[in-house]
Order: sequence, then C-alpha cells, then structure tokens
Amino acid sequence: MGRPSLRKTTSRQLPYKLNMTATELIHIESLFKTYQLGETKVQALRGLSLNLRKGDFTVLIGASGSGKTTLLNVIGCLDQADSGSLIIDGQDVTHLPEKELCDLRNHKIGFIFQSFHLVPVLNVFENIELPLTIRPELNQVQRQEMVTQALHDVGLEDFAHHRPDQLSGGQRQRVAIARAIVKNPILILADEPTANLDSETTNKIIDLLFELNQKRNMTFFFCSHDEKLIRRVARVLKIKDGVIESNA
Amino acid sequence: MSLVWRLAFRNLWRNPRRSFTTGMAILAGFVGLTLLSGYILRVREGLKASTVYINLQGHVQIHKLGGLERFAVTPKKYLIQPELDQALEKILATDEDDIQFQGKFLSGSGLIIADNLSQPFIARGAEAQVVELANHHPTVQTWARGWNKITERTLSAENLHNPQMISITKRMGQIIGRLKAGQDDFTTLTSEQKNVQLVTRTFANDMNAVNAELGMMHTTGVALAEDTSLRAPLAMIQEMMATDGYEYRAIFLKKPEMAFHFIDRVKRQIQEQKLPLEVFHFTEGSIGELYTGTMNFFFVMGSFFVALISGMVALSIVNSLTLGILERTREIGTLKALGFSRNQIVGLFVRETLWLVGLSLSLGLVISLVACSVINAAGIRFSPPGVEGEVNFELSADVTVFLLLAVVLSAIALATSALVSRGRLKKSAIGLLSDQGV
Repeated sequence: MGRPSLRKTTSRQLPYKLNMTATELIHIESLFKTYQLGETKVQALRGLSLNLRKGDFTVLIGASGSGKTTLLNVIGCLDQADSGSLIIDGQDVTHLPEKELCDLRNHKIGFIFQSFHLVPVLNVFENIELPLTIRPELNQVQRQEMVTQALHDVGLEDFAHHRPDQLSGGQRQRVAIARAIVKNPILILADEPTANLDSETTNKIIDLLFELNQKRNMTFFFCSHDEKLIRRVARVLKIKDGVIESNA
Repeated sequence: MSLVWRLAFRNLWRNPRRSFTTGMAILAGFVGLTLLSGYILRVREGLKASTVYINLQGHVQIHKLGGLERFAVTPKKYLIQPELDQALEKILATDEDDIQFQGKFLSGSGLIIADNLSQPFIARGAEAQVVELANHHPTVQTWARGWNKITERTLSAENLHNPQMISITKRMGQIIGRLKAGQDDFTTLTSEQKNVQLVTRTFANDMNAVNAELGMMHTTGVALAEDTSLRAPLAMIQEMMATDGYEYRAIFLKKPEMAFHFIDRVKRQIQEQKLPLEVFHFTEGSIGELYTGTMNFFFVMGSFFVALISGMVALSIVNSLTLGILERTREIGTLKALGFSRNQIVGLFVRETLWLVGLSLSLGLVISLVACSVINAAGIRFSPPGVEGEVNFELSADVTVFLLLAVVLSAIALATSALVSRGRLKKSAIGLLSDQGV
C-alpha cells in the first residue's frame, strides 16, 4: 500500500503558508491524522499547528486520547499525518521516502521511551552504541568516544559493562537517555519518561534532562503528566481533541 | 567483531532451546546429506575404477563406425583390420603423451566344454600386458580394492603370459564341474582337469575349436554376467574367430578428467583423414551401462534428498524466525526508532541465521568426517542387489563436496530468513512499538 498523500484536499484543510523564523526547529501546520479502529474512525489530530524553537524544553500535556502520543510519533517520523505540513530543521519531511526518514531519525532525533526499550542482551555501553553502528562515517574510536561522553553525561561510567537487568529503573532510564543523546540529535522526544520511576529517581532524571538541555543545547519535547516536570519547564502546551488548546 | 554481529550472536541465546532445535535440524540434515554424498562418491569412484580398469573398458574406446551398436550382429563388418589400425596408430601417436597405456580387444561367443559338461560363454580377448597394467593400476588399489580379489590372486605373470591360459568366473567353474563348493581357485586341479575346449563359429561362419587351460579367475561384479564371462589372450580369441582384426581399442589416459578434450582431438583427426572410426567416452552408449545407470539413479535419489532436507531446513528457519520476530516486536520497533532501516533489521536476522547455520554446519562437518572414518574402519560388508559377492560399505569423505553442500544449505537458510523477516517487518515502527508480541 502506498503512502497516504499528505497534502490531499479535504474540506477541513486550511490554506497556509510557511512562516519559519531562524530559531525555529519544528514548524507544523494543519496536521490531520485519523486512525481506523475496526469500523470506527478516530480523529487523533485535527488541523494541529505548532512551532518549537531550537533549545526549547517543552512539555505537552493533555488527557488520555487527546492526541499527545500521535503528535509525538508524527514529529518523530515514526508515523505519518494524513495531511498537513511538518518541517524539521528547515527540511520538509512530509514527503520523505522511508530511507531518508530512517536517516533523519538516526541523525536528528533521539527517543526516550516510558519503558526504556533497552536491548536485554547488550550491556550498557553496547546499548548506547547501537544507533551509532549504522553510521558508516563513524569509526570504532569515534563511536567509543561518543559513547564514553554520553555515559559521563548521564553518570553511568561505572556501569558500562552491566546488562539492563542488573540496573535499577532510574539507571535504565539514564541508559535510554544516553542512547538518545549519543547521536547528538537536534531534537529529543520523550513519551512519559518518568512514568515508571519513583519520586526520588524522577527528580534526578528531571535534573539530568535539564542539565543536558543546557549543556548540549538540544531541543526537548516531552509528553508528561508529571507535575514536577511541568512546574519546571518554560513552555507547556496543552492538547485537547487533536488541537493545541493552550500555550503557556 | 562489530556490535551488530555480536547482537545477532547473543540473540541466539535468548531462547536456547529453540536455537538448539533449529541448529540440530540443520546439523542432522547436513550430516545426512554428507553421508549420502559420501556413499554416492564412493560408489562412483569404485564403479569408475571397476568399469575402466577391472572390466578393461578404458577411459576412451575407438570402434569402427557403427561397431559399438552393431558388432554383436555382424561382427565381421565392424572389425578393425590391420590397414585401418595402422592409420589409427599414427593418429594416437600424436597424442601419446596423454595415454598411459592402451590395448586392443575382441569379443566372441561360443561353448566351453570340460569333459561332458558345457556352458555358453561370451569371451573378451585382451593383451596380457594390458590386463596386468589395468588390474594393478593405483586407481584400482584406491577405489576398488577387494572388488577384484579373485583376479588379484590369480594375476601372476606366469598365468598372464601363458598363451593358453584363460580366465573364467567362479560360477562358470562350478557349472562346468571344475570347482567344488568351498573352492576359490584352480590350484587343486590336475593339468588334465585344467584343459578345456572352446568351440565357436568363426566370423566366416565356420566351426572352430581351440584348446585352453584353466588357471585364472575373475569376477565381472555383475551377477547376471557371471555365468557367461570368459577372458582370454587376444591372440587366442583371434585364432578362435579366425581373424587378425579386433573389435575396439581401449585407451587408458594419464589424466582421465581430460578425456573429452582427448576425444575431441582424436575425432578431429579421424574426420580430417576420413577414417571409418568412432570415438566414445566410457560413459557413452552401452560401454559403461552399470556405471551410468547406477549414477543416474543416485543422482535422482540424491537430488530428492537434497530437496527434502533443504525443505526441512527452510521450515525450521521459518518457524524459528517467525517466533523470534513475534517475541521481539517492540525491540524491532525500537531499532526502527533509532534509525535502522528495514533492510538493516533484516540483515540482523540474516546474521542470526548465519551464526546458527555456521555453528551447525561446522559441527556437522566434524561429525560427518568422524562418521566417515568410523564407518570405513568398521569394515561393514554387504551384497548390493545385482552385484556379485559382497562389497565393503565405505564412504568417501570429500571435503570439497561437503563444503559445497554446506554452501547450498546456507544459501537456502539465508534466503529463507531474508524472505521471512522482510515479510514480517512490513509493520510500521508505531505498529511494532505498540505490539504486545506473544
């Protein structure tokens, strides 16, 4: 089955023109996304528009089913919108073929998952190295340096040769963060990164994320219900019924 | 070793029992194929040695035009007479560097009479030195040792170069009453008992008879031919058939693998000189019927087993990979999120299969070589249908053939794993990440 047309004419599609500023990293206009669940159609995004600036730390909040995860997946190029426009770092990615989307995910986007999604048969060092192995431009020494730096940044130098099942939940999430930042992406996306962690570990992870945001000047875009995180970020977006309801 | 190869290797140990089962299926299939191929190779080389040397067919035969098919019907017409033979000698002289030795052969039939007992025979006349060279050839020692046990014992120079001495089979010796049960040679016969007469109708349709002496014994290896086979010096058969011609010339080459090049060269010269001669490889026509018939049967049987075992290996891989992918859907989704393309993830599963196949086949190769040695050392003897006497059950451990089989099985396994994983990885990254697996 072919890719759906992202600019197909629908009665709900609004005319728009790109108006990106130099500091904008993500520019979204009129995104629509509908899921077919059996015989029911669920409209997850309904003409959503949004801008994210470079270096921003933004949290997306919203009720369950409001479209948070769908938006995150579309920005992360894991899923495609039915129509609308998505521009990442000046590149229109709405029509990119799968191979270029893979390259984009590997070079520009880092993911942090709620359930860590580490590979159990690889140790910490190898898990972090994994996304670098498909970059032919990097040699072994360069990869080792990048992994060592990422391990240092998340404070896990002493756990490099541990397997994921030998680590606590917080440590596993640190590994997942290291795996996301090791590629030096311009954008880090996270879906409920602290949901599986206890209160004390959550605080440490939030501190770490802010520290990385400052140190590496990466753009962070999270979905979260965590009040501690929400209180500390500069920008909170609220999504409701597939559109951004408030921008605080 | 790169991380992706390490990951592929470690993934095998996630479900050791499944990997072990799949590996065992590959190993068992491979060992089965190698042992079968070892037996086929052994039989091929044994039959080749038997056909070419023990049964004196040579690698190449030169007959008078039409003689291979029609000599038995009108022999006189298809004899190679001295004038034609001289022309042939000149042609072969130009290729003598390729020829190890050669000989002239003549067939004739008649009745062997010993006192009041007689038996029809089909005789083949050969020169003594050719018989000696052929039966003591290193190829016979290597591949058909024991197949001509009786001949070896009686192939003394005294017997070979006695112009009256003939060789008959054990069965014929029993039929004409010259061998009793339990006797394996003619050493206990008196000189009178050794005398027999060969009565025949010559090529000119006259009755003729010659005296002969029993002394040598041979076996054709084929049960059906044992009642009638008789071998004699070429001169005796020529005298018996009242001719100075012969039926065909057999060429024994130094490099048998170059036989077809040799045939081409000789054919070209025969055509240039417009001689009424034909050149054949021993696998052509009726020359090596037992060899070609048996090998064709083995080829069909071997192909069937290769197909059967390849199917078994492919199904094992399909089963193992399908379950492996179902169990790791989220992890595959993660790899996609990290930027791995479908081909790169397929490559990971192909590497897993390569590890499994490589380990299984390496172990299988060792087991096959050990099994061949053990079976050969055991000295198992059996009587194949249609073959006279017992032969050793031996296997030929040809590492090149074993490696070729390993390459075939590996290719099937890798192609299967690539096809299965490609099909299973069509899901989007989101679909994979949200999948609950099994």
